[in-house]
Amino acid sequence: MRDEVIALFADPGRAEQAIHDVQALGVDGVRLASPAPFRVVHRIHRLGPERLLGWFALGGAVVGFTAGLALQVVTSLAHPMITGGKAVLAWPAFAIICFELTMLGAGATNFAAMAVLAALARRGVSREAKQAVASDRLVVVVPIHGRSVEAVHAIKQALGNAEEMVP
Amino acid sequence: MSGAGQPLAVLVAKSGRTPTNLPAPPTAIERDMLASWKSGWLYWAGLIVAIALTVLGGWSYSVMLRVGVGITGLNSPVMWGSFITTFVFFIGVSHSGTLVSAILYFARSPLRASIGRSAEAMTVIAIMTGGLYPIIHLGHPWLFFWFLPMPNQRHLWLNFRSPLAWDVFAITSYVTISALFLYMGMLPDLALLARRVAGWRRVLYRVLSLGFAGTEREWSVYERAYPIFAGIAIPLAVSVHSVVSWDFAMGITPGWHSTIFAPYFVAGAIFSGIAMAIILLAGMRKGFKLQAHIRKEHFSMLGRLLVAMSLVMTMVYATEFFMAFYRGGATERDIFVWRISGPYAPIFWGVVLCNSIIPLLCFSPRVRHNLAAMVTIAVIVTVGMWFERFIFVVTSLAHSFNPAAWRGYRPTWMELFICLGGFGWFSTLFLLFVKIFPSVSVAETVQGQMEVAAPDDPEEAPHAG
Repeated sequence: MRDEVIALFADPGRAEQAIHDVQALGVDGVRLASPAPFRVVHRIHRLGPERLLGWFALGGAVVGFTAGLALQVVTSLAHPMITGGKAVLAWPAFAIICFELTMLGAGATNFAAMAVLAALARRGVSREAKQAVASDRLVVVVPIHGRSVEAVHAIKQALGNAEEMVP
Repeated sequence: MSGAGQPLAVLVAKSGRTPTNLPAPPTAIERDMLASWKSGWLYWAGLIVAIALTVLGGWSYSVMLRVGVGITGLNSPVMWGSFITTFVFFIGVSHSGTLVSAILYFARSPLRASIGRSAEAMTVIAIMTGGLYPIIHLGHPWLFFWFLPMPNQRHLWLNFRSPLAWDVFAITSYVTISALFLYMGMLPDLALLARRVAGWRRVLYRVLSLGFAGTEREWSVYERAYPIFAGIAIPLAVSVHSVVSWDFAMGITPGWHSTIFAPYFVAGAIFSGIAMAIILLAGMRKGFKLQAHIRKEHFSMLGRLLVAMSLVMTMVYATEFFMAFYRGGATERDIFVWRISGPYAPIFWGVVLCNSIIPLLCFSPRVRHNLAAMVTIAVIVTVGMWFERFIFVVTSLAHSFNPAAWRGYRPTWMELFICLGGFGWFSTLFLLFVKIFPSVSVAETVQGQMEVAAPDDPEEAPHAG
């Protein structure tokens, strides 16, 4: 665990204000953990690798489509049996399975990418800070490693300075 | 709580020291979720009935396996009967859960926080139930693997030109995406509630939450991924029931061979899904004392949806008849006349009563705000939708092109028990789900409460007075 100041807030707006106040002191690396995706989350966070999620899903969709098409075309050509009067390569019929596997590929890849990116995204937040999140409180985490006593005092003041400890 | 504008606490956490006043006591929504797991007699009574029905269905199926499909009423020309009816019915029920939840997500509807989770669970469980019936219908369930695209000793592959093969892919894709959609929505709640519970549930939640901690970067990833998922789920849901409809519409059988079948099935699926959602939500509200979260206005909104879909269904029924008479095909016209006047006419008119007339009561706000009335209407619609599927599956086969082959069909008790077993299986799984997992979205409820209580965008603040 690293040295840090953890501030708990019941109000997303107040947490956002505290983050801005701390950042105004020139402190970087301030993190927020919250029970829900409040609007503050989007206002304080610049998009990182998650902007690529759509591309991951698109990649999964392409793989799914290709797999669906290849499965049908290759096996139909390997066993060229006319059934129901349809051509061996019946493209309208193949479109349906291609569509289903496209969606399946996109969805599965999207989920896997989300799980991996979320795991990477939570790095740098201590276990204690994560455990402090509850459904009625947001947690602002300010790293203070290597800072002077005065600097830490200023950070605490910017956060609201309510030293110790409620419920 | 702290005063306005003050933090609850500012803690200096040095290496190895854990703040001692964490975590906080459970909040109202958490308390409600925790309390819902201490089930009352109503829950256990429901579970016992559901398990009893499942056992009845399982026993009947075991008899069918031992004796053969001769114990059913299925015979040429009606080779599809109550099993296929139940399959179509449950796939229909599954339809509206994920679809409605995804649409409510894009609409940013507050309704979603209360009903989205159980609707999504209903979807997954209904597919798991409906998917059993084609296998049951096979009579030789051990040959199910013939549906799977795999090399085998027969040197044959799946016929990809068959709608039955499309079904396998469509339903498998849909159940996978719906399950992931449900799971993804639960991730934040599992992480939050893991700190509130003990024992096996704590271990389960911690494992299933995948370490989700709610940091701003995680939420950013989550908020980016979720709409993609919802966007995938909507067309997939529509496609699945369209594909199920093509099981029928691709054949030249009169009464089935119609271009309206896909939207007809989709509309019917949404209709039956909403009715089932009303029943399940009412049960959860009563059984788990979730009145604060599943409110009467939610039922009122569902009532409006129900009546809207009832009107769509009426339009579809009318269109089917119009097309049968207008296009002038004698066989097609004959089958529709037979439906409304033949031996199945009482069922047909019962379906019209259940699906087109009784739901009109939901036009009345008094009815929509009366929970007992809403549940009664939903049960009537559910029954009506099962019989509606029965009517079009059976009558078209029983009264096809060749008059010499016309023959009626009546399901045997064993068949009906197997179908009832499906309802028991569905109810059992749903009751277990709401017992084990949070049935209302904690994160979305919290978000709604906090951001409505303290809107940080002045333009979004509610008007005073």
